[in-house]
Amino acid sequence: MRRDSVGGTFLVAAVLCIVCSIAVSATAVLLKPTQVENEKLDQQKNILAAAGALPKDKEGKVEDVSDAKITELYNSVETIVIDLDTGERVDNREEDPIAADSLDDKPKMEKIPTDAPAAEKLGDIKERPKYSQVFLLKKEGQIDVIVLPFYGKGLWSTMKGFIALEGDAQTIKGLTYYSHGETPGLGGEVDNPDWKAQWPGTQAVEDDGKVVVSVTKAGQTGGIDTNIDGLSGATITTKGVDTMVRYWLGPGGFGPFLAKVRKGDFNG
Amino acid sequence: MAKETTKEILLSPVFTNNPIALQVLGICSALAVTSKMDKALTMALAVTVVTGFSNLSVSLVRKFIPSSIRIIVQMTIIASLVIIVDQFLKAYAFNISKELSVFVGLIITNCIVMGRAEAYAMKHEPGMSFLDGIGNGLGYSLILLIVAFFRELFGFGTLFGITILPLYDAVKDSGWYTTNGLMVLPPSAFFIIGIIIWVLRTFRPDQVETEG
Repeated sequence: MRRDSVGGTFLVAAVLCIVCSIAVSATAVLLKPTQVENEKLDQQKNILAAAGALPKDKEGKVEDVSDAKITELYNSVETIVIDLDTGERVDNREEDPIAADSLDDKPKMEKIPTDAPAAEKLGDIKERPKYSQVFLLKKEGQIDVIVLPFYGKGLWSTMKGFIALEGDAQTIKGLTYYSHGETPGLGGEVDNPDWKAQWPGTQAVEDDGKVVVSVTKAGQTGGIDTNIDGLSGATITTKGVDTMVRYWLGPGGFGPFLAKVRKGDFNG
Repeated sequence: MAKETTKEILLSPVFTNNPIALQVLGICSALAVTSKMDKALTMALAVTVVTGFSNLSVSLVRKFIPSSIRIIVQMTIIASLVIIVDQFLKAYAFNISKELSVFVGLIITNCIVMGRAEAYAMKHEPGMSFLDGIGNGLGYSLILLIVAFFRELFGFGTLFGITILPLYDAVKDSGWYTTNGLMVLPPSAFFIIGIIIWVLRTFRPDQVETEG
């Protein structure tokens, strides 16, 4: 068959496609375990970062930490699974325990009621998982830091991250996003350490569970302690952060769980 | 064309026939990934590997490629190689691959890779084509690293993340260097590449294009 004949062209194209697809899929399959390992490590690093548990240098900047150090630090983190509706722990209950790993693949989703008050809605997102992982750092049996996974819509993307509260389940300890697609330099500044430094120490929730923290327009905190400065030039990202923080800490999100923590149900 | 020696094939794209400085190809990624040395180095390595192996594979099958679909065949080979490189980065250099994000994927559209496959590998032996690819990759790497050197040094006061110029801090009254914000932004790469081309052509007047 001649090289430039129709049959020859199809033959070359077909053989090339098969060879290339085998090469690509073989690499993808062979490297998958290492990549999954990396992602797990990255998530653990983010949990520790939100909890403020990564070692810092003299100037208060987070140092580069080795993988081994992350694994070592992460050993002290306890992962539990809670039912968001009731705030009960479900991974160690007698009937139908929910294992933490089972949430990675296809978590069971629940509709957010459309007639819920605005504060109990997550922007335009209509669903949220029924069960969620919660990460606890304990000191002498008492909860020291609670790290909650959270997500919500920014301007372009679904932003995913962790928000950490202190053991009192009221004061913010830190916040970090591990995945977002916001505009670099504007909304992407949610990764800026200077911006994230505003969060620790801010009171987020009152005794009765009312969410008081809010993210306002840049430079308009009005001297109120519970207000966080938004990002200039990133109004929609700022609103998204405000909505998701208030939702996940409120009654529609982790509110019931946090109320139980305040009662001391999770200590010991 | 006279018979070229191995050394010439490998080194001429680095100095005398640089793909960025003379042919002004592959500028887009040179702007985007040169804000830090470690990013630029990873990108440079990735592009060198891709150009080398795409030239090798295109040259190996060049006698079988029907001319009507040759561009598509080259693209398929290049795209497969880029995906493989991307997978390797995700597995072994996770943090850097996160920062490089889409730019690794965009090597597919890097004109240098395609240009060398079409202009050189389609007509030459596999061994020589491989060297030509590596040489062009190195030429690209050299410019990338020079640009990144200046951008990171003046933009952040660091090299490979190690502080070279201590930053001025009014509160602690330490350091003296104030960073140049322009260097952090992509346009600064234009200026630096422009200056490199200027210097290069001052010493090698034969590279200057005739006017009109």
